[in-house]
Amino acid sequence: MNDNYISLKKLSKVYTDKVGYRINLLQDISLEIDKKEFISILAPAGSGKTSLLKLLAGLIEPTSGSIESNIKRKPFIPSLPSSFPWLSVKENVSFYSELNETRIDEIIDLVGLHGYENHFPHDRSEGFRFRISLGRALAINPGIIIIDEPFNNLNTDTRKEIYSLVRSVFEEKSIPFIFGTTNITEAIYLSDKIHLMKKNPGQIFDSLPNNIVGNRNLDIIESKDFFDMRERIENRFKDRADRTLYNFSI
Amino acid sequence: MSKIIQKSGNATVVLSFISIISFIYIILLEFIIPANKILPKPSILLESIPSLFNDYNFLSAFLFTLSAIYSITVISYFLVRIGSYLLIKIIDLFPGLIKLFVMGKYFIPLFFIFLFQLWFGNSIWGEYLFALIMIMGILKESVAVQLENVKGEYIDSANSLGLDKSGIIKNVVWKSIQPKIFHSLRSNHILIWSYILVYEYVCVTSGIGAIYRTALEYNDLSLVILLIFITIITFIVMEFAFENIKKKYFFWN
Repeated sequence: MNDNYISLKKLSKVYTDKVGYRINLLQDISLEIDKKEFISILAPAGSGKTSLLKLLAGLIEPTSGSIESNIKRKPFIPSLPSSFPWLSVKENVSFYSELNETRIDEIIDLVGLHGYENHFPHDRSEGFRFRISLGRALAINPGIIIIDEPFNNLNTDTRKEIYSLVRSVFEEKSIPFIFGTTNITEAIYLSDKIHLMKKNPGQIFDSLPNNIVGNRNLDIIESKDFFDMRERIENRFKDRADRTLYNFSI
Repeated sequence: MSKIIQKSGNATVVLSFISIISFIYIILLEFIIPANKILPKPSILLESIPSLFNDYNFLSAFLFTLSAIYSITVISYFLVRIGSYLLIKIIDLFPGLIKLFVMGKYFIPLFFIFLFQLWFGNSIWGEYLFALIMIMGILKESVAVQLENVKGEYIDSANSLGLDKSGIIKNVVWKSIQPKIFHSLRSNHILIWSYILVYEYVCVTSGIGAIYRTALEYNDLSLVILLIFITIITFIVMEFAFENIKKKYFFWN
């Protein structure tokens, strides 16, 4: 086991809705994250993926089961833009960070915001705002970065840019990433390992190592290995009734 | 049409509107129907200006009313800000208070005006205290309502970055609701003016409201119209000031 780890054991989350009906959102989820890997949790919408990621980030408590972790800083990037609109790019990235100005500038450069330090995000695109959130997460020296399907509202070209950005940040910084998504293409492109999750109740039913090896560039999306991997995943979901994944080509 | 209005800017539209109304007023009442019982001639209105300053001490009254409205607004803002943590906690415990704040905005001032007249008479401190209570009430209502609309993404992000609860309230929750609070102050601007003018009218303090009362007691129609005109112009100027403050300090939404 590495220095940094998160271990989930038989984790369950039950919600009670407004009329008192108990919803078994997550059930018996066990997961070990102990390598500097890019891990995706691929699941249909409404399967409790966001709740699972929030549990991992320590934002909510499980109903039963245990979470063990020695990671203190686990920044969570939600699906909707979370950069603070009242702060400039630089103020956002350095928010609650202990890094000096030079390091902050390096992070701003890394996420592709060099030259925009004094811009404000309130009227910018979601891609721009995601870059800020990623920079802010990097600036607190995280033990892991948790991302919850942030690409839903991006256009195809921006998605391509952001995929490359996220993967290159992962490779440069060697920080483990956990990424929740409903999209098979982005799960395969970005991840080293993919956990497949079903819904009602949310459970991880399979885990696949990604067989895409070598340098990641967007050309691999057209490769045979990529298609094979996609077919493997689709076949796993085909065996289940809840094959409702959103799929697209870039 | 609306695009043309947006392009030309609010200031131009409002000034054009006032110019047209003034032009119609001058032509109609100075030359076409000078003798009527509805509105005084513009020339009489102009003749009333020296009287307003000499007999009614208008400048002092005007500054007093402005200070009661705007300096107390600034003080109220900082008081609500200082007490925001406590306010958020209380609203968290008693969410029903939001409805009380919203409803109370309209009828509570009436009770306060009558009580304050008995307690403070025409004391200026009574008016300042009244303004403070009313404006803080509006701000509290706004904070209470806006707290329900704070984006969960901001709180989750801040929480995961390691901020504690008071840090989140101070750096995220309070900041994120600023434009809405400011907007609420703007939308209640006319209400605040009304509270203060009515208070001054009833309690006969040193402000513009008291001059309205005296002018009405003497049936001085031209003075009343002049006061209405000055009140509207002041209100509009302050609206433009609000717009510029918003652009500079509360630009996100």
